Amino acid sequence: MLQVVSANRLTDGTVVYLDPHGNWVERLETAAVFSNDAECGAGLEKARAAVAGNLVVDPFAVAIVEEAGERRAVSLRDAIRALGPTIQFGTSSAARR
Amino acid sequence: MYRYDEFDAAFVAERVAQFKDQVGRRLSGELTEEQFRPLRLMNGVYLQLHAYMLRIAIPYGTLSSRQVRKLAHIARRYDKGYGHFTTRQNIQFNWPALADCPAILSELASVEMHAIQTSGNDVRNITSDHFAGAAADEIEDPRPYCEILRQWSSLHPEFSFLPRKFKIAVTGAARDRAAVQVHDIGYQIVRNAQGEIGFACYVGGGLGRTPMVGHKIRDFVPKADLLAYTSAILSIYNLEGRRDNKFKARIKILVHEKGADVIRAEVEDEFARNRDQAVTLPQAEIDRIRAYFALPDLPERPARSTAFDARRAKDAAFARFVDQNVVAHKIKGYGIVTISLKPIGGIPGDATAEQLDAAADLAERYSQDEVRVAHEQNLVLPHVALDDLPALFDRLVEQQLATANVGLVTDIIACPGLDYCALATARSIPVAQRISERFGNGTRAREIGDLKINISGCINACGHHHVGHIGILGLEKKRVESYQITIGGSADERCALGEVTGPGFSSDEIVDAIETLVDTYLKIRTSREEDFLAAYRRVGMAPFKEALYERA
Repeated sequence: MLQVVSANRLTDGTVVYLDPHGNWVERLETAAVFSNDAECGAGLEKARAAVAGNLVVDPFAVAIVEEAGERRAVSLRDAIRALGPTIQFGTSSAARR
Repeated sequence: MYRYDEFDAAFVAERVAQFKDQVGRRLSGELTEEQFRPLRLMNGVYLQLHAYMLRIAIPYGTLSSRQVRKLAHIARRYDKGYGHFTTRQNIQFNWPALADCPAILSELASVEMHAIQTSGNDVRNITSDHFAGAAADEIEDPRPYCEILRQWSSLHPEFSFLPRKFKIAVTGAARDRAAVQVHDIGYQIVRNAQGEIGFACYVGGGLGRTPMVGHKIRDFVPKADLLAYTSAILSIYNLEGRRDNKFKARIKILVHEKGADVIRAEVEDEFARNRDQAVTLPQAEIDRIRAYFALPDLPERPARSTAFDARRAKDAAFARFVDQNVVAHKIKGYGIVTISLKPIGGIPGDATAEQLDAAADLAERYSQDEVRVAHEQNLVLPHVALDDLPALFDRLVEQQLATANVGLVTDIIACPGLDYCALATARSIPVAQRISERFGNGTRAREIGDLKINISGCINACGHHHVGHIGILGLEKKRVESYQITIGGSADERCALGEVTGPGFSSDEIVDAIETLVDTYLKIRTSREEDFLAAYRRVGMAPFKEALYERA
């Protein structure tokens, strides 16, 4: 089973993934993919260091699949975390972000 | 409406300063997440799927235009331009940065608002009838008593670490618009045989994973004893609530396990024992708080409005809006107007910054500067002159806020569900949107009549599905969303929990299943006057179940 390590960024809560260089990135596509539990465990160890370093919170392993060159999270919950709400929320043109 | 005095202002300002310091210490690493989590939750800051979420209390659902404009400003400046009104008369912002939260709370404090006790095992935002103070049928405005309870329970030293969260609702009319029987404590203002006004007290109601209807443990609590009696209930709960098991820690489980008669006896004993030491409410204090909620000075008007009647006679859209969204005011010549936040296919309870600003402007111009938030996730303009209704309606149409569907099949209550919530097991909002689109806003929805559909995205039941006439509970079965249906629930004075129809439905099937239930109702009703709930109470589950499960 393929896995990536995800967490929420401390400062703004944004969903982030551990990349191969040890950075926290916002796109699942650029995350480091682990092909076994031992590798993933090492990734989670890095994540715990990032928690101690006040970069991220609540890290966990996310099961993914790769199909036709595209990655997606296996569970709906993790897919929604990766892609954002499945609904088109109304917004204000003047909103900051 | 209530205005902060110097004590309130200092209290909230101190809390903002304290939280600013705590956030600073968290960001610098001085506090760990484990240390910080309870502190942020005490200030309404949750971490959801995509971001932090800030839950802000709207005490008893009452807002001034100034406060609504501040919410619009916060939506624009610190969030993505919208907010979400919840089933507990709170507003939630879904995307604030942690670093911005102290600034947001500071902005809120400037308009006498805060997020204190919108999380944690304490007394949460005290809710009420959204028509309070304006409703033609109420005995007395319940909001002064909500405010007294709010002040008393804010950072209460004994009751800030209860076994679990604690929700109180107060209503002032026999017609229960505040769902008091599904609260930990529900107070209903009543008149006793001597003509005195006090409270009937219900205890142990609640939804969530173990839904219960509250038990009436006292027919009449005198006003002076409101705090003493509430304190007695909380003391018993604080002592005996199941702290050993989070899922059994609510007072409803205690009441269920010991029995309402035993709890009543214990509460009465505690009340009698501590009555002299407890806080007896002086009449002068009740009067002082009531003065804040005095009915605005509404100039006398004729009961009939020529402008209103003329527009109603010639404009079918206006007539529909009036029929569906306007109810009687206690003063002749005025109406209470509900602004539906359920546009067809829209997100229940969401409002953009522009819509919030529009609601604030309209309240200022037409409703004595007051907006209410309904637990059904709509807004209310409580004091509108009938003469002004045509102009107000035109403005609402311009702002796309004139959906005439209050109480209809498309006026759906829905929690944020798996699109936002870290606890959710399935999505709620897209199901609400598809049901809304299926029934639309034409003659079909009006032909169906009053029908409350409530949707929750998990067993915690923030969408109050157990008390929907039709309730939908989103679960995850074998990694796929599955929706369980209940029917026959009701949150009003004839409170009842819905009954599960049978096996759940997939996301693809659920809207057809709801339509099957509605079509079955239309076939079996005796007349248009018999609404869905009345028909269900007459015929029971059988025809609905048969239609649902023999469909395939």
